Amino acid sequence: MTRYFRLIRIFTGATISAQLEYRANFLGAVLASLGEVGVALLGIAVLFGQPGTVSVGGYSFHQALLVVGFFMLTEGFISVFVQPNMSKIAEAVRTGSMDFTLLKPIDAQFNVSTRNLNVLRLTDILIGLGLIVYAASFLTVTPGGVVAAAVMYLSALVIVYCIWLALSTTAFWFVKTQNMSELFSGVFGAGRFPVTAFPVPVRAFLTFVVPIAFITTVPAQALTGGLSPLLALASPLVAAVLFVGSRLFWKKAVGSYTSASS
Amino acid sequence: MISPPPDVAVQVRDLRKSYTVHEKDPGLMGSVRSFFNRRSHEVEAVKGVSFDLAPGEVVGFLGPNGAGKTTTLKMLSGLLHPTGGTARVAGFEPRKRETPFLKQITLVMGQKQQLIWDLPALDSFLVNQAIYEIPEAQYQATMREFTEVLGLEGILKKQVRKLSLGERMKCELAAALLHRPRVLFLDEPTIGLDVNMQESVRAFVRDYNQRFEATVILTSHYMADVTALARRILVIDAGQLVFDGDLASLAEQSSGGKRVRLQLRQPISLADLSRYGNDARIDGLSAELSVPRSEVSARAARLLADLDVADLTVEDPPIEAVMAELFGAGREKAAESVTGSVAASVA
Amino acid sequence: MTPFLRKFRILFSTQFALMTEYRAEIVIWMLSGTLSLIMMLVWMGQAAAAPGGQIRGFSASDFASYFLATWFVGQLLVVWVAWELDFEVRQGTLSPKLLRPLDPMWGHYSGHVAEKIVRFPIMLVLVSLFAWLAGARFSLDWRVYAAVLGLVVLGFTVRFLWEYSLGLLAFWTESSTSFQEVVWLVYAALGGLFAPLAFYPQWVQNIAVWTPFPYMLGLPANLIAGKATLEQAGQGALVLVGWLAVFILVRLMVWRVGLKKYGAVGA
Repeated sequence: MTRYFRLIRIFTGATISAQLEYRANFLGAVLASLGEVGVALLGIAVLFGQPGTVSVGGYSFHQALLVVGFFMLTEGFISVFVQPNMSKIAEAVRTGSMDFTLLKPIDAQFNVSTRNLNVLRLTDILIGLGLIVYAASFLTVTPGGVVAAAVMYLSALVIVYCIWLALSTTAFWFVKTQNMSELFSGVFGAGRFPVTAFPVPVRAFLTFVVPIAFITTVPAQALTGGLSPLLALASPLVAAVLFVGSRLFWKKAVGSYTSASS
Repeated sequence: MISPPPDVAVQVRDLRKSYTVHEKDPGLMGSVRSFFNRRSHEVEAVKGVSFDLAPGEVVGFLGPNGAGKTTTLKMLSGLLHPTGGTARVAGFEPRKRETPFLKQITLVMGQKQQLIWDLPALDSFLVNQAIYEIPEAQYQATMREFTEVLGLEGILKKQVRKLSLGERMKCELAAALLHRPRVLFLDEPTIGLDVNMQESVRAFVRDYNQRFEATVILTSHYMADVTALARRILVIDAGQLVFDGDLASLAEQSSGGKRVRLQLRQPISLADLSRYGNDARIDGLSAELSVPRSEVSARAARLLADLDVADLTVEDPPIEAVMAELFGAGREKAAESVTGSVAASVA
Repeated sequence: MTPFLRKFRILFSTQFALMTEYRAEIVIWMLSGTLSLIMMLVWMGQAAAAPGGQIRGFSASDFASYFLATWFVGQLLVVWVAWELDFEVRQGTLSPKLLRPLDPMWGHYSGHVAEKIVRFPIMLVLVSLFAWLAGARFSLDWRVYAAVLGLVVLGFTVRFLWEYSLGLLAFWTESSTSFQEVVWLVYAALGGLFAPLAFYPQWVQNIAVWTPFPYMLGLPANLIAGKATLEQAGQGALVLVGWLAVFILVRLMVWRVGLKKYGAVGA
């Protein structure tokens, strides 16, 4: 286990060094973060800007802002930790460098998941945290709520990672199709709004089919104490199931890959 | 505007190019420091190069990595603007990249492909036919020739990504020469190819040169490319032209002189053999050594007199050795451009 | 046929062959651009919850019509040339294209047009499906669709040119695609991707009318949804023609200056 922590430290140092080489990208990353938060804020600003509108899906403005905060935080987590690694899987399969990864004496899933970081997008994480703190300052938040939100959000991160991993793993079969994860980004866009803002069938889809509800809405509910015990239990459970499922899927993909290539 | 006489295809006068590059210390701290405070300095990649090429001439352009070969080719094709001096190619100033100029040249750069990756090569050819406005009859004729000489039969309708490296390079060459350019800039056209494939690329270039009287400038890591195709050699080192002449006189440049090969009847020690010349080598009863050019006959006579020699031949040193020596000499000031063995970087 | 048209025709048919190779990727790209659909669902929910079932005169069905139309038009306006240029400048694959006697822009333009044609039938299927699910209603007047086509061609070309200019910033900076994302945000906001322009504060609307954005996205969408007149379409087309002239000049200028820079530094 300590070996894996040491590896993470080494990988991190190398990837940060590489990125500092391109300092102009820093400006680019800040612009991209601003663009991302702009879309989310404009969306709720126009909704609440209509005369007579005091709530969206039963959420007050600051509660909705809290959801936006969790959305940005997750966006940041994806940009910094998940996407830089997962986008390389398809590339590695296509160029054949996946062979080398599979030959390394460390767990291949760990290797492909921790090699790269996009530190420049840490701004997204900061913006997300800022929004959460700002929105929470207008709401009543108990220490218990903070703990519950932390647990719920930890599950959310696992869920996000597992979905990305599963989608990226399809690259082992569909070599040419490199943008499968875009499908998730498309659906994840719905996480800018509380899940209750959507019509009932869509709400069900976002809870049971693609569990976006657990990523942004559930942590926000937990923070303000409005979380039902059922959802509180469901979130870690979904995360655990997805973790095992995506791990098995990865194993299966690697298995069929190694048996197929000569 | 003075146009060069018609018997000059490429005219280069005091061509210069300098860049600004930034440098950083190794390691994370070096990265952090260079993130905030970037040091840079001016590098002169080409420092005043001059030469003329006649139409139909094939020249080998040699020099170690970083000597300025690719930079010069890019300036001659119009991709880079010189910081000093002039270049005229086929009567045009390359940097203006006028359409009539572009229709008379081509640049082949090893791995940078112009073929469309996910479509058959034939589609890329059709695009080039349209872009270069090649008449249908000429297109058909050229395609027939190329298909025959390069052996393209059967690979033109396969998707480019499914071709082998060698097949791709053949298609790349065909696409680059479809418009029958008069001046060819070939930067490493055989890199990474196996020996057979290298040979067929060479044959193709030779054939094209003869058929269309095209001027060819060729850089290559493989000396065989150069010795097979070029009679004239230009050697560039640290941005300067250090040699311009034919292959034979390049060999004479080498102070090592000629190489004497011996077939002996009696074994001899290396120490004994070394008294007759430099760089002696022994392998059983075969031996070889270098002797100064001016003393070849005297030394040969002594060898024949002193030793029990079955056979003796005198030859020019292999071009690799000459190049190694050439760059080994004037090397001190430009140490940073040498990577790996000098012989390997001859190009 | 003039030589230029001949070149364009060949480029187009090649690019069309290439795009049919990428049809699976195209479907995925289409499905990833979901902002209109998400906004549609949220607004429909809002309208259903509002007293009288309407917000500013828009019922749930009106929102469905408007946002599905913006999704449809937005799909036709998708331009990715800034990413391509950024990639080509960095990888040096722009160089061989510069040595051909044709402005590389035409290759990119024909590629975009070809992609739209591959995209179109898939879009029709999806938009019909969504319209049926969400209860949207579209105009049945054929003249409306002729006007929409005109606006979309103009709007697409205007957007292509500004994106091309942004992509050429890759000659100077490694962040050109980020500028592109910020400009996209302005386009999406003022074009009416978040809400019909009439829902915005007055001062935003006052600024928006001077930009090309509402005429290329919101206006055709409103036409399809039956909320704009043909006369407004004519006025919008005039504004777009003006912007077209502006961006042709801007693109040409950036291209010239960029080539000088590229020639000085290389790739």
